[in-house]
Amino acid sequence: MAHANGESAGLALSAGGPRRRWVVAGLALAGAIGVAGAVALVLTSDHETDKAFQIVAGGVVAPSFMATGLFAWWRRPRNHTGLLMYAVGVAFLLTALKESNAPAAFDVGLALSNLFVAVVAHLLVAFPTGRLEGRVERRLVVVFYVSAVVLSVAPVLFKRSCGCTTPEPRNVFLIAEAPALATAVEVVAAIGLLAAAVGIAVLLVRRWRASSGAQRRVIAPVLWTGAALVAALSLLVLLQLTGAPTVAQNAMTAVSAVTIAAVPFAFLAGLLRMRYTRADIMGDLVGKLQPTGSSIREAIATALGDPSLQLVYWRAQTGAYVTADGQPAQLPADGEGRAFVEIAREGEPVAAMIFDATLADEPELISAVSSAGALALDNERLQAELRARIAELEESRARVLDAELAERRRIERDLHDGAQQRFVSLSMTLALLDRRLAGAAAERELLASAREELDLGLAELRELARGIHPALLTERGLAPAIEALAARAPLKVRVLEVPDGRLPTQVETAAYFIVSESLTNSAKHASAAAATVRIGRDNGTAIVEVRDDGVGGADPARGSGLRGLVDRLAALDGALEVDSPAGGGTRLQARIPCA
Amino acid sequence: MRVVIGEDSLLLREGLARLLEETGHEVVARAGDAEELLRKVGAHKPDLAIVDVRMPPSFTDEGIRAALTIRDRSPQVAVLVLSEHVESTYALELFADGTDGLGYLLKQRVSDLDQFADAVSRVAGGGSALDPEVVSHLLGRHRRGDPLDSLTPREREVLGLMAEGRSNYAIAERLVITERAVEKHVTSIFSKLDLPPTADAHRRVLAVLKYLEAPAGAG
Repeated sequence: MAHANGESAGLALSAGGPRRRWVVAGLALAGAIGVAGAVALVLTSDHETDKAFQIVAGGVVAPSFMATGLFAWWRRPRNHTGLLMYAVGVAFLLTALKESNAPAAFDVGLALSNLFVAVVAHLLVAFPTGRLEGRVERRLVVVFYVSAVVLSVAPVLFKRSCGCTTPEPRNVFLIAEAPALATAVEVVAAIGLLAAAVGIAVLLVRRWRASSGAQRRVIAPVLWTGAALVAALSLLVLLQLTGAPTVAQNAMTAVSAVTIAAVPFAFLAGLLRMRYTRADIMGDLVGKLQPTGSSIREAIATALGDPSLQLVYWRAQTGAYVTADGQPAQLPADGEGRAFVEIAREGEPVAAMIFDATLADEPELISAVSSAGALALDNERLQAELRARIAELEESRARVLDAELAERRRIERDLHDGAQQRFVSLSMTLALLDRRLAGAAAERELLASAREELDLGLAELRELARGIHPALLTERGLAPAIEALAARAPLKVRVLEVPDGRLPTQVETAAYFIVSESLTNSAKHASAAAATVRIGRDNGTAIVEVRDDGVGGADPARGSGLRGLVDRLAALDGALEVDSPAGGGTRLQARIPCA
Repeated sequence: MRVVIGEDSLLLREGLARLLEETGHEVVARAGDAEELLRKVGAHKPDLAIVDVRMPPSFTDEGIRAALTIRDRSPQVAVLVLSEHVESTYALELFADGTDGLGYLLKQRVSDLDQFADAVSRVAGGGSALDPEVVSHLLGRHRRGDPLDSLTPREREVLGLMAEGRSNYAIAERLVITERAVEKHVTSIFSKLDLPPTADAHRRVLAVLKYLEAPAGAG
């Protein structure tokens, strides 16, 4: 019924193409050859005293790193952890060169004997994505690599003998016999190594603290075994450096070997736990998605261990995604560190989940969570769609109001520039005609009556223009416009209070027309003799109040004048309150938000 | 009388000019916007400038500002501001610093040739002319415990005519009473409104307007 639509989501859910299959096979073969070579070197070595131990180390530790690494890479192609695991195996095999009887190979083996420790550190820092995300991470790893390599290269360059085996192949890379210099470099490198190890430990502790429960269960085995390994190996290097008793060194070597062997199995444990915790996650999620559950986003974010998870909802009407608030939303593009998956229900898009790109390595989990969430998300989608429609309606209502205001101003200007001027001009011409008709009394009388009509017509035209939109309101604001309104009103109006400063145009316009309409009603329908007007501001709200001493009984539900005011106010998120008991006068109060 | 016209509408500019010329005035220059008007007034030094309120570029109150500039720069030039519709706010802005040689009338008043001639001669003579509609709006404002309410109807009439800028003689003629009776009314009005008595007809217009301008509720 529900499914996650992975193909269109820019998220690879497949296990990889045929070409990678060849790469994996090639790497496996190369690993096997390497292991065989290492075992052969140990068996033919003329200076190795503990051949059994070395064969176990080379023949078990390296292959298990390589095999688990290749398995992990095969399952999670975008995750580099598997490749790093394989690299640990390769670096471990390189140490077997120490077994070689050929002097050059022996020296290279000595020089690279600490390399694999650095690769293990690299693996730990990069876990679980296999990538070094931050600058701090990259720097720590680089310091670790440099220190580890310098530590083992320095004695090869400046000491004739390592004093570690008998017989010892000749040192072919010796530059000069300078044991003091070698020791100095070794001390500096050891300090660097220790510092980087401490840095990595701090980093891992911090990461652990920032992880959710589900994440901890997955990374715990890998992190702790790895940390123990780095600690053990660093200690071992220090013991060797400080010339500790051979017993202690051997004991530490054994501890390190056990820890090394445990690492790949810890990784496998992590993988297994990932499956185990997935079952837990789904149980939790389904419980939280019940209708009584809180936020579906919270539930899914917790289930996936990604607090940054975003949900966007499909709007079929516009064919685009919107946020839960109904605002337009964008799906992330490649390279933004975000991935997404589109969720459909009964073949119709419902929503998209946008999450951290590292989660793209968990396609099964994403798919399961999407399926479980589809029904709940469909409900959320309907709500988001409603919110989007409301937002659009509010916007279009505000646009209509703006357009209406612009239109009123235009009509007022047109009247001023057109009809009014023509009539004034006509009035002037008639005045001249009157002058020239001196003596023709009958004609002048007729003309006088025409001019009187014209004067009345002009007065009506002025009132009409002012009623459509008072120029004074635009030019001088509410206070003068309300004063003028009060002075012209056909009843006694006292203006008690009007803000001096300017308010938003739509608020001024609404307040003006509320007063205008109220005064007209007071005089026309309420037979009021006197009225008061008060316009105040209270906490970002303009309050317009008109009271009269008329007969009352006004009802905004009837009468188109008040009805129009209610609509105008609603478009500004305002409200109108009318208190008009029969015989008790009318009190009208409008509240208009004006931030 | 030598007149400069500032009016952006060609129709009204020509109509005004024809009307002025027919009634014996000389139109020495015509301007379509405030800037051109100020330049031509400066160049021609006319007796009177007739100015439209709404002119380019913003079509709001250019005329008011131009009128004040003319009075400031060339005090010998009288200014008559005309408007399609009058507002007391603009009248009070125009008369804020004095009423001498200033007038503010509805455009259509021009067609009443006698009244217009009267207003022109008053303004040119250093007096003032305020449109009756503005005066009635100013008198129509209501205040709590308004002293205007204590005036008799005849006194209100006299106050209104005073505010329009008319002399005692003109008021007496208009109301068909003696000048002596007008003087008595004026004294009574000034005493009721608690204004300092003044014999100067020009100064008293300003006093009356300042009184009427006082914000609602303050009286």
